[in-house]
Parts: sequence; structure tokens; C-alpha cells
Amino acid sequence: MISTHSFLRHGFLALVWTLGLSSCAINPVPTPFGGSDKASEGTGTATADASSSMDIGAVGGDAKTDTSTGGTDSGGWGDDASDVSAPDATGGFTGLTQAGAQDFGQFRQILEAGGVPTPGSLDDLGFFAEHKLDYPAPTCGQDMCLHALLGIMGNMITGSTCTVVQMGLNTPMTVDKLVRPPLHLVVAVDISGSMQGAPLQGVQQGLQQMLDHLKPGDHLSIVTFADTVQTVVEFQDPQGNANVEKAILQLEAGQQTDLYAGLFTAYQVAAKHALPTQQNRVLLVTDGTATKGLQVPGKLVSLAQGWATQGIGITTVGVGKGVDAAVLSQIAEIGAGSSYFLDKAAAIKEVFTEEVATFVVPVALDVHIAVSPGSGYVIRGVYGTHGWHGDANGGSIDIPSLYLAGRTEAQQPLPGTGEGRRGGGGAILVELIALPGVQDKTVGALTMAWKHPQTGKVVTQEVTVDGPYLPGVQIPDGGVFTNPTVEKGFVMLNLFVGLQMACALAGDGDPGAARGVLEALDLVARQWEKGHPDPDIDDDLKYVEMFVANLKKLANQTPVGKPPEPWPKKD
Amino acid sequence: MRHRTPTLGLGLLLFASLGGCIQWPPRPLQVVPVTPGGFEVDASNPQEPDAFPITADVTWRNPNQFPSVPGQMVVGNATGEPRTVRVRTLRPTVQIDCDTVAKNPSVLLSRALFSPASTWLLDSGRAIGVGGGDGRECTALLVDGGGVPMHLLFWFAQDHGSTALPSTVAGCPADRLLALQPSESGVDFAPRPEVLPPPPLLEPGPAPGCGSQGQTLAWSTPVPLGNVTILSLQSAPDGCMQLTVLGKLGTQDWTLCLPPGTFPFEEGDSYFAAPLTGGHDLKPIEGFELLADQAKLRFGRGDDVVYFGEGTLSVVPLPGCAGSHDACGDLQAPLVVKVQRQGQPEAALVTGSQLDLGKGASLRLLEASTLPVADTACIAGAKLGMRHVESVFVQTAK
Repeated sequence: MISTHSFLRHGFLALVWTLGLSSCAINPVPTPFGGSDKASEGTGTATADASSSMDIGAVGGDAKTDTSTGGTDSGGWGDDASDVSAPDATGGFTGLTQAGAQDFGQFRQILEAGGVPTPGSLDDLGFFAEHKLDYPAPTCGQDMCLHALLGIMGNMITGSTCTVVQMGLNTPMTVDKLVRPPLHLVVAVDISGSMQGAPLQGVQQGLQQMLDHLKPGDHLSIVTFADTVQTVVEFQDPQGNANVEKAILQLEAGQQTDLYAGLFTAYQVAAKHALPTQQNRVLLVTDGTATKGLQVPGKLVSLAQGWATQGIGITTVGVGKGVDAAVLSQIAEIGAGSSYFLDKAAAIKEVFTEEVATFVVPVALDVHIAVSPGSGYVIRGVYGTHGWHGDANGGSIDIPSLYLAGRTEAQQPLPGTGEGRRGGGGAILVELIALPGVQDKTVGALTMAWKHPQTGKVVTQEVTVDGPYLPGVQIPDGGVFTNPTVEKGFVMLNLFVGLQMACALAGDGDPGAARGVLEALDLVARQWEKGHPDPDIDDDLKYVEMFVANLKKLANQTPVGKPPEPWPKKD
Repeated sequence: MRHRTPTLGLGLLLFASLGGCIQWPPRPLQVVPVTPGGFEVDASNPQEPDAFPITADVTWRNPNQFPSVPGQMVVGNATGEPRTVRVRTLRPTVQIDCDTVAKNPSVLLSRALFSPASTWLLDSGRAIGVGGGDGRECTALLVDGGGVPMHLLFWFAQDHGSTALPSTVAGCPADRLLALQPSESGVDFAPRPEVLPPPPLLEPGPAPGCGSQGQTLAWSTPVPLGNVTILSLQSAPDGCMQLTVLGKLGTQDWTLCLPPGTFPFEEGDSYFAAPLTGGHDLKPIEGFELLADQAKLRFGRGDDVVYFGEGTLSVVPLPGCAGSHDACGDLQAPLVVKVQRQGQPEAALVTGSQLDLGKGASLRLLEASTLPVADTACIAGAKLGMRHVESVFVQTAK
């Protein structure tokens, strides 16, 4: 039985700032509201299109996550779909989503089995990634453009006014036009004593199988680590290379596990041969934690972080139950890669082929987005990113790297295409509370800076968002939204927060309160959906309904009452 | 399976009276929560099942007919309607410096420090005992419920010692009662010094001037000691280095993590390495010094600073900086290291800052904080109030 838990690979960043600034009723044609949108590179200034394009291109990219976790048979590697498909028929532009999303499949499985999920089983990145979100055309003149969208409406749980800024990032690059760059893959293999036997055999078989899938121009390095670290293959062209095949066959288990030194050396090899025109990736395979050398998990993370900003990504593979899954996941997230957890050693061999079947092209490195609310607003929550640092008065989002991914075989259907959710979403939503009485319509300002992976130049872009009303002023029924994307994002956020609140309340032993949240949310969201049919929201509501049904079956019911405020005005 | 510890007092069975006669002392019903995944907790708590529905308004009853509950205070329902009340205690592994936290509990505590709630069904006029039973010097609880906004409750045990308290609003002494009552916004606690705003949803980061989160020292063991020659040195962007050295034990691989650009040696250099067990004020540290004619490097972590130069040194709380919480809720309160050398103005170092000592020497402070709130399950080896200082001293002849 193969158990895998895979993250969305490579960092697609879709920052969706929905700034709903329309005067009344929902405005399907976004109107730029004051503010400016300037992009500049280096010391020069590139003029960006200050008016968000009204042609909201479809986002290429159906990302489906593997739904198997923790012992459940995934049904095969092909289900691990965190890749981007070709753009849909409406044409358009490619959205960017962050790496590191927790598989929403676990949450679904618990509900489908009649259970009540814990808060830890629901992740905002994973949930948002299940939704298709389209952003305006990337006309800022750079490889990556930031959009800011605003939405203001009564929240769908208690009705209190909710101001949401949705950030969107997309790129004019399209996946179907991507040319697969050559790959330098550095495989860091744990050959400690516990890998002896089936695990190491799986690695050997996997490497051998993978050789057939590498393309001319690709290079392979293999670094082994146990008591000591050895680079057994360095930057070799594997095509018909007897030395490479011999090195694979001669892998032998050692004793202890110097995990840090193994990863450190793998990165050194990757960096030594790194080229901006090739994919530079590390694949770490281990069945345990460090027993020798530096044994500080935080330093594995900072190592991955440092190299990610220089364009070296990483995928992690944990075999068996002895791994530190949290650290491996965190490293993969930072390195814009996938994270696999395998119950059975035999599954190892398939990971290598999967890894080379998907190619990545870096779009941006060292992405930093500073977020400043206007004087009339405070931040109450930030959703859809693990890179937020800040508080109610502002902060920043840091992402080491963002990539586009594609598949090597154009005819090969992407996992998940045409079935289940369409995905391709990914959003960062900032929930704001208005401070009445402030005479300033500015909702917020964003400043983004990132490094171009090929030229190394720093590109900046500033976006200011002004509201149509002063903070706290009564808004029209139906809310105000810059475009349908932010309206969908608004609903998506409310569904996420409602589900999260319900999980927490159920875990507190208050299923009645959990039902109160979900039933209030369900009523309003279904009314909205009648006027805005959407398969993603429809799917979400099925799970809301399932959750309520499961709560009703519990013993020790508590009264179903008015739900608590999801975003209280005051802490 | 999760168990609810009986720190909130005995549950009292609720029985409706039969013909005005109470068959058994009724008690508020504690809801036994279900575990994730839909499995119910085995009802192993000491309560007997509630055999009769709750119907009676108990305000007219003699409060002495209701059994007492142990606790330091009671949360009572004076709203006129039944209420669910959710009470969250501090996680068992959390330690707090009560005197420090008492200065501003709503800011110095974090929501992350609290366990999932115990949920109680409180009939109108009934109360539950809270606090005590855990040996803490002070009690901190996060409480909310049906229609009840979140509040932090905080008091010292010496002010409200544990005792047997009535389980009714009517019978409770005023100084022990935290009453839920109707308010303009619906339902709220009656104002009392023990009732405070909850910690914020979004944790504030360090205030300006309070120091940024610095890098931390790390090294692999065993550390090569004695006369050592560097055979090879590789660096990573985060400042960590892999060294291959030749020492008295032969060739050895060693990992050392310092701030980038701090290590003063290169391939081919030799130095003498020795452990450091005490800092400037001889307080305990764990560290090492690498000494050569051309450079000196000292690094260490613990209760002191690796500065052995002239002058005096003091490590004190950074004024105006209450500290910031990590993901577990630990409160890292920043310290400032003050260095006073003769003829020089006093220098103050905070986390992430560096002091140029002249003659090619510098002192860098990677971390200087104390932990007035610590989750021992989160930070390995964490000790309440422990002073945590990480510092690097470098001197080069160039």
C-alpha cells in the first residue's frame, strides 16, 4: 500500500487581493479605484498598466492534490497532481500558487468516513488551491505581476461587515509554450543501516528506471550519506553512462545517519553546477532522522531556505514512520517541491520517475510583499500563505521561490484534469476590520520586490488600494467587489473560516455551536450560489452539509445557537 | 481519546425536581467531547448520566440544596436562559511567571498556550467552579460560549484560594462570582478585575527597537579540540559551514553555523580550539574559542556573553519591550546587553546587533531574551525565566 502525501510543487503564487471597491451591487467589470500600480526593475521604471485589465484571462493550471495520506492507498503515483495544465479554452494567463499546501484530501476523507475533522486537518493553502481563480491580464511588463482586488460584504456566518483584500500573482508565460530546460538532479540518498534491504533496493530500481526518462542535456548527481558523505556521481550525463549505472548498483548501506551533512553536500554539488538556464533540484530520500552530525532540524530548514533564494529547489521523500514529517514537509515547501511519505519501500522507485516527469521553470526568487493597511483599517487575519510575518498594523509575506511547472509528455493527461476539482487557485486573502470615523479611504498598500532568476535584477511593483467609501460606512446590500474573482474568493474565505471554526468548536465538545456556524454559513452561501453557479463552491457546500450531518450523529449534543464572530471588531 | 481533567470541579447531575422534591443534587452538565475522527470519548468521568431533563429555574431554591463545587471562583449564569460555556485552561506543559504576566495578561499570554475547551451546559442560575487543582501560583482561563464573547480570566491563587463554592449564582459570595449577565451587546461578564480582553487573534511582532529575530548558533559534536588545521571549508547561504579538519584525533568533519561572514579562518589556517564554560560574569554558557595569531573567535550560548575584554557588562530587560510570542505561545522577552568600557560611551546591544570594539574586534549578539512564559514541550530544555543569550566575538589582526 502506498501512502503519499504530496504538496503542490513549485511555488505558484497567486496573491489575490480582492479589494471590493464598487459603488453598489456587484460590478462584473472591475473599475480601477484610484491608487497606482507601478512596476520597476532595477533603477529604471517600467510603466505598468495601472488599470487592471477587464479581460480576466483564465488561469492555466489545474492543480489536484493527491488525496491519500496516513496509510491510505493513494491509488498510484499518477494521482499526485500538483502540476499545471495548459490554459483552458478561454486562453489567458498562468496563475502562480505557493508550495506547501496541505492536502485537502485528508479533511474530505474524514468527513466521508462519517467523522469530525480536527482543526489541524484543514489548511488554508490546500483549501484555496482547490478553487479555480482567474485574475486580470498580467500587463505590468514583467514576468510576474501583482493584482489587488477588494471585496466588502457582510460575512456569511454572522453578517458583520467583512473587508477582504485579495492578492493575485500571475505571469504572461504559459505552460504549453514552456520549453523544458535541461535538468540537473542531485539525489541525496540515505544509506544508513535501516535502509538496508528493500528500501535501498527501491532506490536503486528507481534510479535505474529514472535514467530512461531523462532527456539529452540532463545531468545526474548522487550523494550518499550514512556515517560519512560521499558524492558517488557528480554532474554526469546519464545517457548510456556505464559509470552511473555501476555507481547505482554499488550503493551499500552504512550505519548512522548524518542527514545534515548529506543534504549540505547535495546542495553544494547542485550549486557548483547551477546554471540559470537549467533546472537545479535536489531530491532527498531518507527513512529517519539524524543520528550523527548536526542534529538541529531548524538548520535543515534554513539551509533549504538559503538555497531556494538562489534557485535550487528540493523535493523530499520520507520512507516509513521514523522520519520527521513536519521538517521534511517544511523543507519541501520552502524549496517549492513535493513532499512524499511512503509506507512501503517498494514505492520509492516510482518517485524518481514522477520527479523528472514534471519540469519546473523559475519565475521569481526571494519574493517579498510588504502589506500596509490604511489608517482606517486593521488586519484581522491573513489566509493562504505560510510566509506571513506581521500583526494588525501590517507585515510582510516572504516566499523563497516561485516556479512554473509543466509535464514532459504533452499528450499525457495531467492528473486530475477533467475530474474532481479544477484547482489552479491559490490566493492570499487579508481580512480587515474598518475603524469608523477615520477620514481616509485608503484600504491598503502593497509593495512587492523579487529577484529575476536569470538576470538577478530586482523587480519592484507597488499597488495602492482605495475604497469607495470611508471606513465603516454602511455598504449596499450585495456588497462591493472589484470583479467576480474577488467575490468568489470572498465566499471561499468564508467557507474556509466557517469550516475551521466548526472543527475547533467540535473539538471543544460543543457540536451545537459548530452546527450553528455551519448552518448559518450554508444558508447564506447557498443563496449566493443560486445566482452564481460555481462547481468549486458547490463542492464545498457538499462538505459543509456532510459535516453538519456528522455533527448531528454525535452523542452529547449542545444547543445550536448564534455563531460567534469569526472576525471580532475587538480582540 | 481525550479526558477532561476534573479541574473545573465536580460535575453535578441535573435532575428536574419531581413534585418539588429534589431526588439528587443537580449539577451542570459537562459535555464530553468527541475526538477527531468521530470517535466518542469513553465516558469515564465521575458523573452519573443525566436521567431527567433540565426544566426548573433554580433561583427560588435554597442554594444550600445544591452541592458545592471546588474551585477558586465560579462562573455563573445570570442571563435568565441556559448557556453553553467553553473554558480553556493553560496546557499542562506551559509555565508562566505570574508576576511578569500580571502586568498585562492580555498581551503577555497567547491563545496558543491554551488547551481545547471543556464545554459546560449551564442552566440559568447555576455556576461552575474554575481554577485551582493544578498547583499554579496564578490562574489563567480563556472563556467564551453561546452568545458570550471570548474573555481572559486571570487572578492570583493567593487572592482566591481553592475552596468549596456554591454551584448557584444566588448562593455565591460576590467576591468569588464571575457572572454572565445580559448586556448591550447581548451577554457579557459583569465587570471585575479578573475579567480581561482575550489575547489578540494576530500576534504582534516585536515592536520597533525591540530587536529582530536573530540567527542561532549551532554546531555538531564532537567539536575538534586542541591544535586544528582546516583542510577544507564549504559554506551555505545561511552561514552554516562544513569543515574538514586535521586534529589530534585525525581527520574529522565538523559543522558550524555562525552568522554569514563571521568565521575568520580559511582553508589551510590552523587554530587552537578549547571549550568555554563561563561568560563575562562567569555565568554558565556552552561554547568554544578558536585562537590563532591572526584571529580569535569565541561563540557560546547560555546565561552570559562571550566577552572577556575590559569594562563591565550587564544583561537587563530591554525597557519598553514586553516581548513577542513564538508559534507555541512562548513569550521571548528581549534583553539588552550593556557594555561599559573606560573612556567609551555605554554601548547597548539587542538581538541582531553588533558592537565594534576597535582593534579589529567585534561582539555580535544573536539572541538575548528571557522566557517569562514557556511551553516546555515546545522549546527543548526550556526553563521558566531562563536567560537565553547567544553571542559571537571575533577579532582579526587585519
